[in-house]
Amino acid sequence: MKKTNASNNEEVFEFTDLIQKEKEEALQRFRKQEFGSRLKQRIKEEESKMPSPSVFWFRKPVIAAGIVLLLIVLGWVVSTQVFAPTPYERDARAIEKTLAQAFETHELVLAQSVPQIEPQPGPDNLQEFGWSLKRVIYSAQRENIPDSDIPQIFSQVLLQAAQFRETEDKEPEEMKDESEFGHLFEEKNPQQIFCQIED
Amino acid sequence: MIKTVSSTFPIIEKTAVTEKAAKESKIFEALMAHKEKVFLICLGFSRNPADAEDLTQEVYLKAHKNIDTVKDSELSKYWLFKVTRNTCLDFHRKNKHRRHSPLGPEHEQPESITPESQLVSREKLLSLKAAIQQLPKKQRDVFILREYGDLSYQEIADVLKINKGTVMSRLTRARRALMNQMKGE
Repeated sequence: MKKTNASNNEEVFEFTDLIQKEKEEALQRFRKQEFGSRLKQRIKEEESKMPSPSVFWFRKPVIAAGIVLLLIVLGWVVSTQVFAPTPYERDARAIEKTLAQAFETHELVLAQSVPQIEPQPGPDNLQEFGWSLKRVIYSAQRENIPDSDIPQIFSQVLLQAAQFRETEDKEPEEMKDESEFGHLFEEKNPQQIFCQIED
Repeated sequence: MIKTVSSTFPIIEKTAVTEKAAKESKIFEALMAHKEKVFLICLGFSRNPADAEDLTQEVYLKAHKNIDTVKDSELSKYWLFKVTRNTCLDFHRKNKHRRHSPLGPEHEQPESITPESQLVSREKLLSLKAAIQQLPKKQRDVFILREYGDLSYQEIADVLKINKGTVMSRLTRARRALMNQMKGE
């Protein structure tokens, strides 16, 4: 054990000695050369190569002044509302917004609503109504009817139209009744016919 | 009145700048006092004194460029050794595959005129340098800082930001590995 330790120490000493010799030789060479002057020269060269940074912009007072100036400009913009929209633009935007909302609501209602079955005026009826109005206007022109009477005549025409519509509305129901009892008169059901005759 | 106030600002600024420059030059002077240690550390990392000298120049150029980052002149020494180590590692990485003359130009003499003992020691040194290069990175750093830079355990710990105990164990492992390698050869 002691032997191995001793041999290890010898080897450590040997390579420490080698390193020491190398260091001494290298240092001698290093000391001979003028390291300082060479370094100064290189520093000068490097400085001349580098583009001189504008130190002015990195100074604290300059940065502070820049920030203050920026704040002043921002304050002025906010206070004067240079970039605020004109009243006309504001109105236009408001109208646009309201209309968009209205259309959206309308579309929603349409989408949600259950389709209602209502009697729609047919194209013939509309045409008839149109002709009746034309007739009224034509007769009013022809007969020299005073203007004050025209509303009255129109109201009569509209009343007639309403009555006409009511009769039109009723007609399908009557037809329906007929269709309900129609099957009684069919040849396919002779027993029921006999029962009816007996009653 | 205004004139005098405005005229005082450049003076204050100028004095601040000159104070800063003076402080920086003072720190750089303090760093220059360690140039031999830096050179020896570079020698440990490189394969010949010529490369070590170039590396030392590089280290001091870097230090001069970044001198404004050093705030405490007391700690500037450790910062310089860190810069040295990093510069050497960069150099090592870049020149991994380059073939070097191991002992520098003045050692490149014809073997016929070299005495026998000198030749033997040169061979040993060559194999030792090769063995150092083959050490694991962590062990190599500690070994070079200790054997070439003559730094104390605490200084090495401060430079590498590790414990003193870790420094000692790494150094022991590095020495053992070197001995084994030398024996193997």
